[in-house]
Amino acid sequence: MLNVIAEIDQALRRVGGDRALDLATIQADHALVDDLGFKSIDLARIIAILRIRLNADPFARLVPITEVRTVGDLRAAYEACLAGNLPSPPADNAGQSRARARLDARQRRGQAGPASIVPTGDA
Amino acid sequence: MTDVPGDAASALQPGPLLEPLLQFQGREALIWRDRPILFDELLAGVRAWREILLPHGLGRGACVAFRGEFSPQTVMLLLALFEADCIAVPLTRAGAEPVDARLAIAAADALIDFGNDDQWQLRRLSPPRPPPLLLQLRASAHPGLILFSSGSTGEVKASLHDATRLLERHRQARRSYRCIGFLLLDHIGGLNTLASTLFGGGTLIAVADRSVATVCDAIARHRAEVLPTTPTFLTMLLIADAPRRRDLSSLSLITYGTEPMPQTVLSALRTALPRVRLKQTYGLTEVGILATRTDDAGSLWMRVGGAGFETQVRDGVLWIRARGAMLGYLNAPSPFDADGWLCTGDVVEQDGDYIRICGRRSEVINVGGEKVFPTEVENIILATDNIAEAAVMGMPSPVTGQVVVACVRLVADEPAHQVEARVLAQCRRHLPEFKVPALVEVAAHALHSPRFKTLRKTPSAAP
Repeated sequence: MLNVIAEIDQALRRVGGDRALDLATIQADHALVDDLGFKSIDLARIIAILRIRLNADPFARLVPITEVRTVGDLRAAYEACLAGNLPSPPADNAGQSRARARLDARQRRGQAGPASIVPTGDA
Repeated sequence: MTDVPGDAASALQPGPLLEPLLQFQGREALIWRDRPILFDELLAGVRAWREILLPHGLGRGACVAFRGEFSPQTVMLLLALFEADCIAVPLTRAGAEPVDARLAIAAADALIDFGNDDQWQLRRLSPPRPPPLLLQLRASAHPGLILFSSGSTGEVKASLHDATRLLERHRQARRSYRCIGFLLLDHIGGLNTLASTLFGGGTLIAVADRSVATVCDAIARHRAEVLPTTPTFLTMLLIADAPRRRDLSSLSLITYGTEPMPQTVLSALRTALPRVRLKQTYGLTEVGILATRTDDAGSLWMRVGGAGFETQVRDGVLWIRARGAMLGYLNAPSPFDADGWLCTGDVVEQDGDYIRICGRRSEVINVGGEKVFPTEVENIILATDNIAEAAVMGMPSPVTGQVVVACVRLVADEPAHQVEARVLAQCRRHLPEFKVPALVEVAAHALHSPRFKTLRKTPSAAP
């Protein structure tokens, strides 16, 4: 049976070992950057390894990577992904049209406007 | 003109290019290792460098390379070279490419190497015959700038700029900022930051490295107002919870560019730093940095252009024509069409005057703003024992945009973990960190099509 925590810790040690980081103990509350010393390229490598090892990518569209600060956060993301119990994804604006972006901007500024998207035709 | 007495006035008197800086005497121009350098000292240093260069035969038209980071001496030297109508070739130690090749391409007359404590060594060189474009610039008696960038096939290209045209837009007075020097001095963005900061009477804050801790410390200690940076750094800033754990209260503006910004990161940044204005930037080594404008800082849609720039979208790809564009490449054909338009290679979505950058059209892998070309990594891997074929590609990464991964086919059977260890060791010996594959998978099948074209397919997950 897949042991998610063991796989994650193994990936952390594998990448940390290549960089001679001190990972004698890995605890859930250890901060990935400040405590364990991982850099951006290290985290990218860890996630790539886990994507292959666990066939899971919780950050593709469901869990923002920016909310993963600790080892515990990382474990929780993958456990939830593999269990299929993910929180509602944040608004995915990757393909957002400009009309929708303008509507969202007006609403953030508290301006009155139509609820539906109406092409305005302006630049 | 300021009221500076006698000898001090003549000592400080710069030429027409730097004359606008005189009005900022008494202000901090640069902060390096916590030491402020005033504009007065900066201009005095420019004069001192001119007196150093001349006895070495490095006067008007000389091509002078220098290698280092943003520091008092490198900034003074760069300004001195521009003022003396020389051609500046800024280099850093960030890349793994050998410097000699770049010096030859630039036909550099000298290399000035700066050490960690801003001490320097000047070495005269015996350059090859200068390219015609360089001779053309020399004949114009304008200062020049040579910047290196990677082309579409991985070879280094040297862009030659008329520095007068490049600096023109910065010489008009504007608001002054205290700005972090995040982007390097051999990068068009780094030089743009330097010029806009100094000519605005602001202060450039040099950082020893680009880690979250060092940059945040510099922001707090020196009350930086502007951070020009990359989406990858901002992702790391958020992962480290820096907005909550560090004092970033002085920041009023963060600009980001060099790679696409994920919407999730932008949204998280707006939540974490609600009082900081976020601005997307866009530029190329070949044409400089364009002005951008968005409806809303939370949107990736923007207008690009500004004075001196024209833009077009052709078949979903952005084209630019710029008054301040480079004169050309020193070692490659001109990329401009007959009407002076440059194809950026950036795929965009368009809505009226607004565009959204979707990504690069080519196979280039973008790791945190750094370009990686599959062939350059494949060449290194193929030099490893027992490797019959290699295919390198990018895998999407929420941290760095993409990460390099490799797939190999073996000559003879060997345990996969052993192959990976050997290939990674080989890559680390010859490549900078961001080019080293995150993982190496062993494939049983051929890695090329029937037409012998390398098939670059992201490795499949474990069964």
